[in-house]
Amino acid sequence: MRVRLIAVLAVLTLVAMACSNASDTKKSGSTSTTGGGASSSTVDQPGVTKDTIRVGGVASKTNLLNGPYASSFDGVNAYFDMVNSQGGIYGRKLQLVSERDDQMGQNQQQVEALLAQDNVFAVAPIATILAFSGAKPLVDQNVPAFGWNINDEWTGAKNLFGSNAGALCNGCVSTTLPFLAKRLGKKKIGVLAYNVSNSAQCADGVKKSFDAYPTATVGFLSKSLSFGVTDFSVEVGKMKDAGVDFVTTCMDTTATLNLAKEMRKQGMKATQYLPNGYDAGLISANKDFFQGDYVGLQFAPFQSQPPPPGLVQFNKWMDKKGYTKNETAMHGWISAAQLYTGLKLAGPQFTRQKVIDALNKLTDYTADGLISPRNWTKEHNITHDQACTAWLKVENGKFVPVFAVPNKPFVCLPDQPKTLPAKATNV
Amino acid sequence: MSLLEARDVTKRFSGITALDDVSLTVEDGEAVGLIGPNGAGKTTFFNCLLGLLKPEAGEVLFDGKDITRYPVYRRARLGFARTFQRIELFTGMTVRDHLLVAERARLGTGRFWKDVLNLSKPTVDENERTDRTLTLLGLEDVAESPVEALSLGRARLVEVGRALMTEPKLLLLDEPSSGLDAHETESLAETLRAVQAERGTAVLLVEHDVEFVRSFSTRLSVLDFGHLIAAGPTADVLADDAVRRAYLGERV
Amino acid sequence: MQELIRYVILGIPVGCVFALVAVSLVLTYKTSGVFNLAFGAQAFLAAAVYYDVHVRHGWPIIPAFVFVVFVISPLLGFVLDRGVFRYLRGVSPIAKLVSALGLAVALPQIIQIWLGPGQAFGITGIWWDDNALYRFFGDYTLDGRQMAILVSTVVAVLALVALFRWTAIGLQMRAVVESPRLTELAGVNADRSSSAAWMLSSAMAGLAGVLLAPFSASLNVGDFTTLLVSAIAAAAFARLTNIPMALLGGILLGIAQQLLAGYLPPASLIAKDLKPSMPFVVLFLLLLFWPGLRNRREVTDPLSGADPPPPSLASASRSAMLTRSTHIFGVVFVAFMVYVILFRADAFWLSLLTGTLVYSVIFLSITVITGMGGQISLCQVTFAAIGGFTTAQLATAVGLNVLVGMLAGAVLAAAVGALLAIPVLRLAGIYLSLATLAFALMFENVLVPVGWIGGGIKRVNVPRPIIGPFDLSNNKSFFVFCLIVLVLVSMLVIFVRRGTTGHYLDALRGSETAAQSIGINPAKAKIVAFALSAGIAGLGGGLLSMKNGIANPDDFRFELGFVFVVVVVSTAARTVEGAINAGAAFTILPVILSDWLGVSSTWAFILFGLGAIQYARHPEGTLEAGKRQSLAFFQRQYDRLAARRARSAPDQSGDGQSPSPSQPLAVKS
Repeated sequence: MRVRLIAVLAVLTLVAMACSNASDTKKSGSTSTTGGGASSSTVDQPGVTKDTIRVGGVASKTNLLNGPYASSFDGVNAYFDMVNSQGGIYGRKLQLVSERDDQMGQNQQQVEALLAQDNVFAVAPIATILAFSGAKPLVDQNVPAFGWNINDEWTGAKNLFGSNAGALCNGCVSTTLPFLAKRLGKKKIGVLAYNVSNSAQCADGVKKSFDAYPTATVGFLSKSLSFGVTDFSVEVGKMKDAGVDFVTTCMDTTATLNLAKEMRKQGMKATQYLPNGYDAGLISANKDFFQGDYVGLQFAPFQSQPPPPGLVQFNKWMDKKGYTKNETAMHGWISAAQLYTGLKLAGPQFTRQKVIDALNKLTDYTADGLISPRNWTKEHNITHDQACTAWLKVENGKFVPVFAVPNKPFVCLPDQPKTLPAKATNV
Repeated sequence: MSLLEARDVTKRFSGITALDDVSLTVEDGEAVGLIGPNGAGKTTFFNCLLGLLKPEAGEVLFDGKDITRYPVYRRARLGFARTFQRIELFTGMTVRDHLLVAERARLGTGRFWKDVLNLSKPTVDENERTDRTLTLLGLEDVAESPVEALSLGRARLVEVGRALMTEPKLLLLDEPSSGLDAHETESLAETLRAVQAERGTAVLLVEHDVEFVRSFSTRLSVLDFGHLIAAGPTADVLADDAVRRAYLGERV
Repeated sequence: MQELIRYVILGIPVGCVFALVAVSLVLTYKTSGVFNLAFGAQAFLAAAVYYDVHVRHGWPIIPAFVFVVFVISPLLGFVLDRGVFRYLRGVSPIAKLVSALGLAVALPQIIQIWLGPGQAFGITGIWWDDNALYRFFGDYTLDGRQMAILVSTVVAVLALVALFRWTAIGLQMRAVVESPRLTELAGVNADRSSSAAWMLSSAMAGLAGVLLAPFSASLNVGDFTTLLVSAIAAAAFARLTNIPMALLGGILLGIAQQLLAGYLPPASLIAKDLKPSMPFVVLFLLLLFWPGLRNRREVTDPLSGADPPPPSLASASRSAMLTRSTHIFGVVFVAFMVYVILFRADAFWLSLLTGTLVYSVIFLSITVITGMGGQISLCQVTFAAIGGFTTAQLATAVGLNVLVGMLAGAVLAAAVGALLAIPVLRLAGIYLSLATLAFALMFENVLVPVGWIGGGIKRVNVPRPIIGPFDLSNNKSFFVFCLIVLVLVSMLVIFVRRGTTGHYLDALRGSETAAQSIGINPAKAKIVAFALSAGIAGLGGGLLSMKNGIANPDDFRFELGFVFVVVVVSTAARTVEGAINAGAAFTILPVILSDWLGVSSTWAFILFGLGAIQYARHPEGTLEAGKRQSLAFFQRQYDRLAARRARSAPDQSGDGQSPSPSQPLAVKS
């Protein structure tokens, strides 16, 4: 139903645009074939010289929330170091020539700069806190681009490869939280969100998910919190009265921390799902408050035992440079890995188009076990084969993998099944 | 019917009565003085006449029309004009622009759409009228200068000119001699007399310089502690004992 | 009833947070006449230093607290007073507000660079145990952080009230705001008491910073800014002057928030829209209806008339010859630039410079409202948003021609501007600016999240128009289109400034009383200015969404409204070239800094902020001041040249020399 509605809206939009306005053509820009120069092989592509393949990225280095988005560059650099130490690819070194700062939402301009000024073959990493407006020039010029797909603009474009499973679907029905509630035996869910669009929509998604898979009922839902709010006394009071035993938020870490403190104050015993909580610094600084809470990841956690081969490499090459190993660095690493895979599959006569096409034929790409198998024939859409999560529980200020079996860190369920299956599969 | 008639104007500021039943009239073409010691309520009364303050009781009539509740700018359009004790000019504007803007404000001829189409340049007619006023006040040589460059005496003349461009029936002068030396005061008085003679404008003069008032006004009212203590022909009032005690006595 | 009591009691600790900020705002306003929008930045600095010494360097709580609140913060206050605000005594509160805005933009960036990347976790407060719980009436629990705020707020309020009531320095600080010169005549050292005032208010901001920091999971300036704008309502409740009232106002605000949280159904639409925007709605209503704020004229120094008036525009003080030569140079330069951009620049520079044109259009709206109207509006970005979203929705959802959509957006923005102006114009000075801020925040909180306005999470696409044979999806054509729009809007602004409306506004800014005394209706003139300015901003917003291809709420965040004002006043608020320079600076400077000089592009904001701090000294803009100097230089050279020529031709008389306008003319006798 939802898909059909979106399709109808999209068609209407297209019709509307066709009527009176220039359609969003792919032909603009066009001047990006200046670079390259004469190369020994016959590759004539922007950003490809006879000894290097130039890559550039954009991340919210400076941002209001002070998140370590710049770490994504470290991940890419570490991966390129690994590739280059083995002689590079097709006689060329991979080089991250440009690390641009999107300065809170300026990423369209920065992407334009990457394409026109920095002479890059591909774009990696991308990690933007606000809207990924840079998607537009990337799509217009059909540049392979890799990054952390936490914004809506990643959806649908064949040349954008996100490191999270599939396209982001904020507000879609998902099996993830109903599964967790079921595994933990939780019965009443509390949902808290900001009044801004994506947060509120995320809360609606949680509600819809529990409506579709009634492993528990939503006992309290608020979408009326504002940024900077630090007091949850009324909300917690109401959740306590409603008998809520599991709380999920669509908010930042300041909110989850203050919420945890308020729950302790009012003696409310409930488990939190921490949406942005995979941050060792945050957890160890506040271990009393996040004790027993859960985090879900779409890549193999640093705590995986035994570590998958990709994680071993990640640790080795990150440590070599003394980079901080965190979530964003991992997304950078995975982005670089996808680019490298695409190049390898495209063959020595690679072009941007060949890289994109080659990746889009993959059906079970795992980045050496770092992610659950990706089916890129489908992942650009908002529905895919299955939804996989690696689960962690906070114990004494540390993350401990749960529900995993050795060498299979992910818990997978079919994506949007009619009913929640009795058993999940480990991958 | 008087040109201006203030009837029993009373104004209080948080319990203090600044004006108590003050009445005053100005006839067409007449020059009336208003004097009083500091704090007597002259400025308060002036502001009540102009609409900058709303009196608690009493009314102000202009040409027989009750204007007590009119905002300042509407009174101006009826034919009120004033000068300020502390010079209030429009910084950054030339002398000519001061006169031009006053002319337009009076007639209300400014139109936004004319601005947009760049049709707001001064017309021949407007230029003629501003030239006439510049000549009358002897300001031709500084017409294109910004007002910041003027001396205090000439700045006051610009104020007078700006007031005259609104073709007022009544000109209210608030301590025009303040800040001027004796020489400047004399030349200002001369100019004002010339203006009055040429245009027949009625003048209400608030002053502390008794000589200025004596030489300029035919009738005089005296305020003391918010009360009107005397009114009548200038010479009689200045001879009055109460006035000498309250006001002139101070100066001896 | 029991529930009601419960929410009221729960509101008190929340209210104390607001109260702490509101009391600081009132304190600063009372002792320095500055409405301190930089409060958040000052508090952030204190929190950052506290984090550095306490967490990074492991100082115990008490030395760290004393160091931050009694050493670093007063030192900052002292530096700000000596470096900036001392020169602002006696200037209008608007000029002071702009300086504070400049500081609010620059300071956090400087701190961020000092703090370095990475998150500042684990700040513990000054209470011996942040997480100790204290029970009251059996049912209500406060933790250490809240206890610290509660106690500090009460102590601070009592101390401040005592200071102002019973000590000489307290009285002097107030007197200095009212009239520094009169106070000096009375034998008070105004410099000393102004320094004391700034040190005191900065210490208060420092206290707030240290007390509030433990509430954030990781330190960031955003939390402080949000809190600041929420607490303004409490300060307005106190009429910016009464400290106990600010405490009361803060607590009432906290209680109101808890009542809304308690009684509105939490998932409902009204709760979603109303609750987060409540402080701004309250602020807006207070500004309009709270007695004592209506029609309030700010304190002006009766002796301030002794100050020299602001200089006239540089262009007014040059000869016709020089004017002509600069115009010719300007035309040649622009033509050359357009040629280079269209035929030599790469796609990035083309897009960047198109951005320059678009932002120049938006900034021209500030030329109108600030340069001509003399008002500081903090919601120009909101008008741009109205234009942008209208363009997008009309083009995409309704299917209108996008050009029609853009014009409709401009008209709608102008209408909203006029409607906003009607109630707001009864306010003067900073109250008007605060009302525009409240409006911007209400718009962002209530309307932007609405799907058919801001588009929800899906940004609305905006197509480019086709005009005759020109398809503007070609970026070069679009550049030319933007250039034409900019030229048209510039001409509009120049014509209006030269015309009657411009003269009326000049007159009103020069002296509102005198302007009324010649029959100018101030409300009407200002409504026209507001509407024109909003319309231009709306047009610019439409253009921006067309350029980006989407109407992106991120391009219209309310903080950008601060930045816009700061950028424009730091270049030149009164001229069209000023707006264009500001557009260029806003778009190009960050690129020059990051791509050419290799430093963080945030330095651009620091430079803009520092430029705006100069506003009071150079109300015509820092660039304009530089231009005046260089023009004066050229004029001197030109005069010297002319004089030499005159000397070589001795038969000509030298009486053509007009007196230099900067010299007072001799009194004509």
